[in-house]
Amino acid sequence: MNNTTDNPILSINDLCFQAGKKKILDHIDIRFKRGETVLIAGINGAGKSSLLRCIAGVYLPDSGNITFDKNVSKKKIGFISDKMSLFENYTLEEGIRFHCRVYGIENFDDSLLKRLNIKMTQKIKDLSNGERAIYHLSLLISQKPEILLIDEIIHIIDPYLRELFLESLIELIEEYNTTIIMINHTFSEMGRLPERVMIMETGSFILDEKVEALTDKVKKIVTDKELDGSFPVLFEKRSPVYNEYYIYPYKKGMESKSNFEFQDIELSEIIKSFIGGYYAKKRN
Amino acid sequence: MLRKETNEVLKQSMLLAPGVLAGTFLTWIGASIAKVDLSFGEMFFPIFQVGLLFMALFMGISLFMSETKNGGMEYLLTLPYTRLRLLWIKLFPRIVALIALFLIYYLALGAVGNNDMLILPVTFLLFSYISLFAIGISFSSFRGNLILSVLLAIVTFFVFLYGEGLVFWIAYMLKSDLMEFTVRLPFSSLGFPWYSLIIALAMLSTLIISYLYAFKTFDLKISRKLIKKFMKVFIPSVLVVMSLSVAGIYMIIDLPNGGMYFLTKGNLVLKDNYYSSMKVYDRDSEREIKYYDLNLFHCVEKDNYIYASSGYKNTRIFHIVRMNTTNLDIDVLYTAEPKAWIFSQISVYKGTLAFIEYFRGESVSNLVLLNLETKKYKKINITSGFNLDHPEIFGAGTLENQNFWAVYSTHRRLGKVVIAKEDGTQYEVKLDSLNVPLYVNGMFILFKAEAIEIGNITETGFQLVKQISFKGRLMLYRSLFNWDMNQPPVKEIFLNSMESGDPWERKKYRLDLQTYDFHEIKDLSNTYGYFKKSIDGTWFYIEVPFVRDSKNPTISIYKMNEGKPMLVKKIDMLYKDGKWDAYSDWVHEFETGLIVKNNGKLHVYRFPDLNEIEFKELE
Repeated sequence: MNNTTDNPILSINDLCFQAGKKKILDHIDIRFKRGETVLIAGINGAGKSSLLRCIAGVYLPDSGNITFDKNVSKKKIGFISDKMSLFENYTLEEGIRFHCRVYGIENFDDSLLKRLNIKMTQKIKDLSNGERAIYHLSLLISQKPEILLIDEIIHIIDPYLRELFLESLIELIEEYNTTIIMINHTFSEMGRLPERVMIMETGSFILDEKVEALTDKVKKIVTDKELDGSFPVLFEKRSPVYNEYYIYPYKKGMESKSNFEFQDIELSEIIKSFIGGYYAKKRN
Repeated sequence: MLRKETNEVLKQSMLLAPGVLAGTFLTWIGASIAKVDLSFGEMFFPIFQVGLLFMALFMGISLFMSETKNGGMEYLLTLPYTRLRLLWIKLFPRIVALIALFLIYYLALGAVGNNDMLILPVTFLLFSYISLFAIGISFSSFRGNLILSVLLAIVTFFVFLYGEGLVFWIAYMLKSDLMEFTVRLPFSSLGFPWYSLIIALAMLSTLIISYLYAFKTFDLKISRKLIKKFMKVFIPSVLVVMSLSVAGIYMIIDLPNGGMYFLTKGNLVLKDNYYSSMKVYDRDSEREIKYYDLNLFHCVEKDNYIYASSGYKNTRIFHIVRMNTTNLDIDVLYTAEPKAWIFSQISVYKGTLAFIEYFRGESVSNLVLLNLETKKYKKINITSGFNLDHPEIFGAGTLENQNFWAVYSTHRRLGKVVIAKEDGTQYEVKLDSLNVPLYVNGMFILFKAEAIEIGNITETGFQLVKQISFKGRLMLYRSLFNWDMNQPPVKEIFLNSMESGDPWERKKYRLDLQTYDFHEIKDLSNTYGYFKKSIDGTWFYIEVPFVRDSKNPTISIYKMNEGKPMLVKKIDMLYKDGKWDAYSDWVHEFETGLIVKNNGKLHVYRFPDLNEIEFKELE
């Protein structure tokens, strides 16, 4: 785990959280660096959204603590939940006015909204999911956030707005060195945005790696032969013609011990293999 | 954020005006249908009070309603405020609005200047107002079903009220030597001694402090954590406050000197104290009666005995006892069944004591006929059919050499008379009478909506002898007579009638039972008062000015002579703090005379001359 980050903007120590009797987050310890973009993935119900909600202050943990860098005020933390919660009975105009007053924003950046071509007198509840995500992001961008928490929303936005959304995130990172922690399953759309990937499994992290390091550590073998037990197989996909084996951790020199070709794979496939591996483990 | 909350609160507050006006309008419709004459203020202010209470509850319970309804709860919780700051921003405009609404109410009431239009005293209203708001707030965090939350909050409010009453009850129980069920709860009568308010507020503060403490854990979930945390502080703190309050009340209270009085034919005053042993006073001394507490409100005096129902020691079982007025010996004539109650009037006719023994929630009561000589009794089952209203004996007589008792029961204006004979047979007649009928001079007198009917009741029904047209609300009760039903023929009866809708304004009428002449007595003013037939058959009218409006509180007693009132006594009531104390001064009338409490002192006036008899120890 990447727990040794110096001067973290956000530290989570021994965090536990329960919903009723069910343990959702189990002794989580992580640090986040200023300006990094982190992708959190994992099976449904792993606790990803709960973690984000705890960081955002929507949920209060049962034990442990969440500490922000002392220079980060609560006004500089933005959160878009999967519910995209806003005061729905407000018009866009009223919502902006309210947000600006509460966060002390003098100049609201409406450039994103202009590209949507929506009326400011419209009620928030009448926006489409994509419009709403962009609207919400506009509010947060105007805060000039130092930490931005984005729950699983990207996949519900149409391709045009998705691109707009991601472009804005990149601008944010460039302009304000914002730390972005996002949950997403549509990895192919994410491009090179994430620098760090974390995978959760039932309340704790099973993986926390830089993207580059991770792509070096996960390889795929496609073969019609059976693999012997000497390789660390994370997940395998079988078909009548050939089998796919996902190897983790891959170490240099493995090729020389076998005749297999170790293929590089994309981030989205790596994450899928981890999730698939979880279900395979559960089946066995 | 404050602006958002202020706008929300303004919108909510605006609901009060149409709500109260609609309520007033509905009351007006109801009053019109029921033909009750109410002024606008009499309809408007009670509805305003109820509206205020609902508004307080609603403002508390809807603290997070708009966010929950509009999906903004998560957004709200991410705003850059601490939980307590968030709560304060939510509460501040609501508190200001509630204060403003209460002031509007208070000023409007002041402008009208008539406190009689209230259904709740202002102190109690204010306390309820604050309590309902606080309880509402504590239910708002659970964000469940609104209607369910409102119902639960109302239940909690009553639990809270009874909790406060319980504190007094325990303290009084510890101090008093009486059986438990005779202890009155000060709270239940809406009377607020100063320390009662302090205790209520202290109990309320435990609720508020617990909530503030628990609110730190307020988050998106309907949190068990919050409830647990709330309960962890609330239960011990409220128990501590209640225990300290019991100890405090125990130390500071003197048991109130309240009780029921009875003036006997032989000039004894009996007093059944609410909180301590019963006492009997003669002119020079007092004697204590241990273990018994005679119900003097429903007793009857015959020869040298007082007959009454009574408890004995700390038991709930009712007894029928008789007290010898010479030596004050008490002997038990009858012990009721363990689940039975004897609360209604006891009457005596010839050698038989008659009373009703009823069972809570059951529609069958017993008419018990007790032979005073042999002490043997006979029970006759009376099926009232209405278990809400208990049957009562209103007459006794003899027909075909057999004694009978007339029993009346009523429920929502439907009434019936059961004629029960001493051989156990009975028959019933359905009646349309607004009040309990009278049985005088061997005739039944019914008070109908538009007539007085005099006649006989036989197995075939009511046989009309005379009908007198009259529209009014005549008020005449058997208690104006003697419960010793061995009476010589009565020449006349006098009645009060409430006709204007003002309960304190009454017209007076005389009904001649020989000629059936019925006319208004115009020589008497329409002020509040009542008639009483004295032991020698003379009627008196006791005029009691309604205390709140009275500038010259004088009790005037008139002797009725051939229907003409003759003033025989005036008793000037003392002022206390500039006015007559409506709650501690009173007049109790008996067939033997009057007992008047005036500025804390008791005075006994004896019929027929109404001279004062001094009792040295009476209090």
